[in-house]
Order: sequence, then C-alpha cells, then structure tokens
Amino acid sequence: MDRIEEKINHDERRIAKLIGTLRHVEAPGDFDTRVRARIASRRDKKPSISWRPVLAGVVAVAVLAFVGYLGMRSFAPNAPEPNVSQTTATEQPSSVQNQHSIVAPAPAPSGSQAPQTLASDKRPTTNKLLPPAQQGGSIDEASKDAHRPFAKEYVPSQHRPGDNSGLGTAEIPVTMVLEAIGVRATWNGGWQVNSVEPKNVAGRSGVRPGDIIDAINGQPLSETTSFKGSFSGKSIRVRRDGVVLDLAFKP
Amino acid sequence: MDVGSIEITVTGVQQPRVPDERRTDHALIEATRSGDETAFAEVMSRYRSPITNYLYRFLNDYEEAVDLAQETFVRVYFALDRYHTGFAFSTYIYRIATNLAISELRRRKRRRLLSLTGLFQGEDEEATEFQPPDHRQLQDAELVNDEQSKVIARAIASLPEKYRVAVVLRDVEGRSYEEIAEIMQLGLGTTKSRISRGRGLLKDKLESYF
Repeated sequence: MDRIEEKINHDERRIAKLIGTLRHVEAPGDFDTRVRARIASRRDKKPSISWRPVLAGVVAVAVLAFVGYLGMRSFAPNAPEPNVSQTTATEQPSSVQNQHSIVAPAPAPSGSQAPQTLASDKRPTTNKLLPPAQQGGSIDEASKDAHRPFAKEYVPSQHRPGDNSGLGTAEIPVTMVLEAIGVRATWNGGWQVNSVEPKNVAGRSGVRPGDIIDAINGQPLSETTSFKGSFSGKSIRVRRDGVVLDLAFKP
Repeated sequence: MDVGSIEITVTGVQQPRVPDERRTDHALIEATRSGDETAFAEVMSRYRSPITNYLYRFLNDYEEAVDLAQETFVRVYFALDRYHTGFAFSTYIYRIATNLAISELRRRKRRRLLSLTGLFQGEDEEATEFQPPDHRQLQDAELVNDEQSKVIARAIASLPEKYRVAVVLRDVEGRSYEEIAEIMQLGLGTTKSRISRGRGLLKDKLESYF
C-alpha cells in the first residue's frame, strides 16, 4: 500500500515538475492603459434601464387582469347579458326587477302592429336566445350550454313554432324555467334532477341532484307545463327520499 | 521668564510615506478606495502578469487571457467597496479571474454547440499556442522544449475545468493548498483530491514524456 502511494506521489511530483517547465507569459505593455480606459468608459456610461423587470411587471399586470376578469365571470354567472337586460329593463316593473324572473312580452293591443315592430327591433330577433329545447332538442341538450351566463330576464321570441297568433300569448315552457334556474332534469313521470349548477338559483335554494321537482310557484309540473305571462321564481317543491320539501328561491 | 528653556510643542508627527511597492495589498486597496490612483497602479503591477499567465494556462488562448485579465481588474476596481479584508487579496482576485474564465469556457462551449448546428460555420475555434517574443537564436533543445510546452499546454486545456483550476493554481501559479481551497471555495481535502486527480489525468495524456 505504501509503495502504491509512493508511486502515486512520485508520478505527481514528476507531473508537477513537467508543468513547472512551462514558460510564464507576461501581460502586454499597454495592459494598465487598457484597464484604465475600460474603467473610464464604464464610469462614464449612464446607468441603463434594465428592461427585464419592467417587462416582467407588465406581463404580471396583464396576467392578473386576465385572471381577475375570469374570476369575475365565474363568480357572477347570473350577470345579465347587456343586450337582453338593456332591452327589458325598461319594460320590467320595478317590483320584480330584483327577482329571478323570466318575462314574456305583455300582450299587445290587437290590431296595433307598430309597437310590436318597435319591440322586435329593439331585441334580438334570431333564435339565439332560445335554448335548444325551444328549437326541438331535449332538456339535456338544452342544458349543455347552461354554463353561459344566463340573463335574469329573458324575452322569448314572439314567433315561436306553434305560436301563430303573434300577439303576445307567449308561454314559457317548464324546460326553459328549469334551465333558467340552473337545473338539468329529465322527465321520468316527474322532473328528476340530474345536476344542479351550485351557484345558480336552484343550487342556492337547496335543490340537489336526485330530487324530483313537483311544483314551481305552487304550480304542479307535468311534462308540458308552461307558465303564462311573466314568470317570477318564488318557491319550488321537491321530493327527496320520499320527503316533500318546499324551498324558497334565493335570488 | 525662563530664558534658558526652550518650549517645544508637538503639533503632529509627519509619518514618512511608505513606497507603494512596500505596502501590503490591503493598504493599497484602502488607498485606492480613498482615491489614490497610484495605489491601484501598484496593485496592477503586482498581479497583471500572474493573472494573465494563470488565465492563459487555463484557457490556452493568450488574447482571451489578456482580455479577461483586464476585465478582472475592472471588476476589482468597481467592487472595491464590497471587498472585505478578511481574506487575502490574492485569493480574491484569483477567484474573480477563475469565475470569468469558467464563464468564458462555458460561452465557448455554447458557441461550439451553435457552430455544430451550422449557425456559425467557418468560425475557427481552435486555440493557437501563444509564444512570448523571444529574440534569442533557437537551439535544437529549445525547439524540443517548445514542442513539449505546446503538448503540456494542450493537455492542461483538455482537463475538465474543476481539475484544471486546481492543477493550474497549484503547479503553474504555485499557490498553497489553503489558498486554492479558498479560491475554489472548497474544503482542503476536496482541493487536494482534485489536484491529485488532475495530475493523474495529465499523467495519462503525457505518458510519452516520462
């Protein structure tokens, strides 16, 4: 063992000696002058603005603003869509403005087409506002896009299929009401709740998946129940595990 | 009145000025901090050649070594306020030079990688052996020595940087193990081990000279 170490030390000394034979190089004659020139040039240089922190700040503010925007959207799912609310706010009685309501247009005097034309000019005339259920789909299909912010006040088109009068006999089908309060339900002899949007009216009021909805505002529900005129949510009756519960809508 | 007595008032003792070349490194740095430019000139005259030589043996490129040696002094000058006299100035300046040299090596490595991808085709990365000017007539033995120096220099330059720093500081610059440990910010045992390992690698490369 000692011999090995001795050999290693011997080799290392020889290597060190070999390296020691390398000639030392000197700094060039103008070394000091060049160093002083560098020092002088850097001393004169104005402190430059570092753009990295500025850029990072701008990006951070933009990200925060975007996140804030998304947050506001997710915490206010019932915020009215500007087009709809602006159109109906003037038509809505002040007493029901704070309630979760669906408003059918007031019957217009027969024979007077002018106000109706004006009203339809104000509000969107396409079926975009109608849920797919109104366009022939099922309630489940209608609820697929239930995540979009729902207008508190909803004005269905007066030219719905099957409504030939065109003079304000609008009825609001139960499917639309269910969608409006944030419930996905299927008819199984009763409206059985599949899922509930927790932040929507039904969710806040205590409706849970599995409940069977018997009545809304005291009106018993069938598959084809519809609400005439304006709908203003007040209460909902559900059956849960055989127990009947009357829940008040919480706006 | 006592006519025979002479009153002497000592108002101050004029200390004789110590020549720059006899002042310690710390004294020179203190003087530089207080605006004495000649003190910094003395610092440069003490370390410019050792630092240049150290960087040259580290990088095997004289122009780059001179450039980095100058940069080392510039960094020292602008960091004088942050320099603590708790450890030797030589350690401090070698550490700066080492960091610069390692950064340069990494920059070269990146550049070589880019040149492999074709972005810098035609750039010559091969370092050339610098020979200090020597006007004496060359003899055969000197020619052999020059060739040997080139081989040794290339062998050192091919070492991994962690061994290269240790070997160059020890065997080229003749620094103590303790100083090298401080420069490399390593323990004494690790430092000795790296020197030994570096020499072992060199032995394999320089087998023909034994």
